[in-house]
Amino acid sequence: MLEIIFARCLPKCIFATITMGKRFNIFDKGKEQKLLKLLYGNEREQNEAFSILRKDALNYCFVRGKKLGFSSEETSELYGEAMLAFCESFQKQGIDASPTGYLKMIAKNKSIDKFKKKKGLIFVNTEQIELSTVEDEKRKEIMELNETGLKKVLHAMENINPLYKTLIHSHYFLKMSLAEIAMEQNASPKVIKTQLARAREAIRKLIK
Amino acid sequence: MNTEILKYLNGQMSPNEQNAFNQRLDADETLSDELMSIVARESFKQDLKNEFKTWESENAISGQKIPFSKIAQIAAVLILIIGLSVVLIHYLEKPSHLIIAEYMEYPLPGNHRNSIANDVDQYPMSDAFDAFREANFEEAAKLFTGYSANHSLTNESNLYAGISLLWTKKQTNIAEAIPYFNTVLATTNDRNDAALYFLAIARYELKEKEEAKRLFQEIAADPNHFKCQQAKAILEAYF
Repeated sequence: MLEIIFARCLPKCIFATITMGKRFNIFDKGKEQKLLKLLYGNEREQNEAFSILRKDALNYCFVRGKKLGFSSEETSELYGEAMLAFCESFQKQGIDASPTGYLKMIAKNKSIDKFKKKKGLIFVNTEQIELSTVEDEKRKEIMELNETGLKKVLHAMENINPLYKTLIHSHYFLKMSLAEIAMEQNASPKVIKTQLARAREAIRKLIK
Repeated sequence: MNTEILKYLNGQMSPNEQNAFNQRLDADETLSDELMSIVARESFKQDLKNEFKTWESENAISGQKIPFSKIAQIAAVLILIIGLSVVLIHYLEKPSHLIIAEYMEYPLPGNHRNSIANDVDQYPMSDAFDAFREANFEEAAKLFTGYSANHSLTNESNLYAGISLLWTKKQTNIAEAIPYFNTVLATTNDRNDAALYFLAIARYELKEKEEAKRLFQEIAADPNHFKCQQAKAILEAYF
């Protein structure tokens, strides 16, 4: 599943290649520049880039986790959050230089946040936040799923048809349009729309 | 994130609120899409977490696996470094000892044209020379030093006592040999040249290289010295 996501994650940013082409010429050497080119390359190149980035991130998060005394679970969360943030950032605004450095910076910041949370340095217990108060509106950014919510979501995703799961990832995480998904799956957009509606329904049922 | 969706997923809504929210989800496609986005995002994050756990179990816990190519590279570099070091040491390092057969060669009295005793068996120090011939240098040194103390043939016994002590290759014995050579050198006699040469060797072995060099230079400068050529060779190779 991860491979599919990474393979599809980037086409939306291909346009950035055109706009940032000049910058690539300036930094046309070094590992980071090569990686950057791969990130904005074709599907195979993007896969290669993400494979490199994931390896780096795995190693970096492992070392970082050890350094800050994280458990295996906490380190895996750190890795998940860092990669997720990197992918989202890449989708939204693209990356114009040093992908590994950027990814490591994200992981570092996330690890610091995590460490602070662990040590109780900031208020994060979402269950104690009254959602209706103005003050809590300001704290929205630190709101997150609790264990119950996470279990529900994961249970739902694990128990639906794998085809639906792929559709949900493609449409709601990778932000692919129905037409794009239809083209990839050699199906009509209408069929995809129906399948997506069924996928949503299945998820809703399982979440309830 | 939408706080209402979070509250819904986290189970923080009352049954009535939940029903109302479900109805809203049916009617509001944007809200439904937002819920699905959260679901997709969390699922992706979970996949990443699982990836880390798999990686950790494969690499971190059981120890980092070093690929064979990496090991081969390291081995190749090590072999190269060791090989080069051996070659460099062989060519650059100067030899460290002079007490070897090549430099320690000195005729025994029976073969010496100037020896007082052509008939070795009748020679008073024959037992000491026997020990010397048999390379029993500890014993030879003991006997020669005994003769040096009690016998009239002191120059010869002193010289061989010194040579025997040198051959033992022990630092204390080498230091002990020096007075014997100095005693020979204290008077003018036919053993002076040999005593000077072996004294130089003894000084070298005791790491008194400057003094040893001076003595070898003295020998090398004397064309009539029987070890003149050898001294030159030593100066070239050892200093």
